[in-house]
Amino acid sequence: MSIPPCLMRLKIINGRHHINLWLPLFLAWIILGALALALSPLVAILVLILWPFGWGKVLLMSGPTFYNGIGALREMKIDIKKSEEVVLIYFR
Amino acid sequence: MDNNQRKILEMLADKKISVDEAERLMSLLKPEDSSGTGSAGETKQTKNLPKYLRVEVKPNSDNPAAPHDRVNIRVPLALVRAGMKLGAMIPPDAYNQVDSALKEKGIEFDWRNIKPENLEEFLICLNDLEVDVHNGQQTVHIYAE
Repeated sequence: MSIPPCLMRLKIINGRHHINLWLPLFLAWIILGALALALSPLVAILVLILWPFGWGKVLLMSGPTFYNGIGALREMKIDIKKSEEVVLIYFR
Repeated sequence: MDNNQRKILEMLADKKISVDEAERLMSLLKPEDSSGTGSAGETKQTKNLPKYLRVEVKPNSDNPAAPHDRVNIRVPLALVRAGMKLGAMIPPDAYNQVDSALKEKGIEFDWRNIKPENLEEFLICLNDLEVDVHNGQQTVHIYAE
């Protein structure tokens, strides 16, 4: 199982903006994890209600799928330089 | 040694193919063909899977008038796997709606036919993908690594 990215580097430089940030994503994962844990009883009830309609499985699997999708972002890098403009998005 | 390997060696002995071609054919054989079945073959196959899709745009160094724009994109191929898992979650009703919408556009394609094994094959094939475009001013390079 992949580990979600802990940091995101965001760098935008153009005529108007000069942004160079390291965003601590791990803080967001802690908050989201706590939120998911708190909402899990409600989700379990919703899964049982929606199961006959075919959407219960979707709801049940949405958590792990979301986690896998976020984990897959690790090491993704978008680096664009155009004369005096720079855009860098990097998940680490 | 299996039949495929024997045929390649016979073709090489008969000088129907060069050493390079024989080597390339050998590498194209499935890992389990060359290293037996079981975990060893699977390990080798996993090792061969590319991890990232790279897109690079670089200015042509030979042309001083070329724009100095640069693009360097690295997309983890794990995102494709995650997308496949997301696709597997879609309920049958939604699949039918997607199919009918695609058919209206003239696209005869059933997403349910794509299996995880197909995806693994696709990812292995990406190892050989290499797109190079030169237009005098810039070079575009797309490859998997």
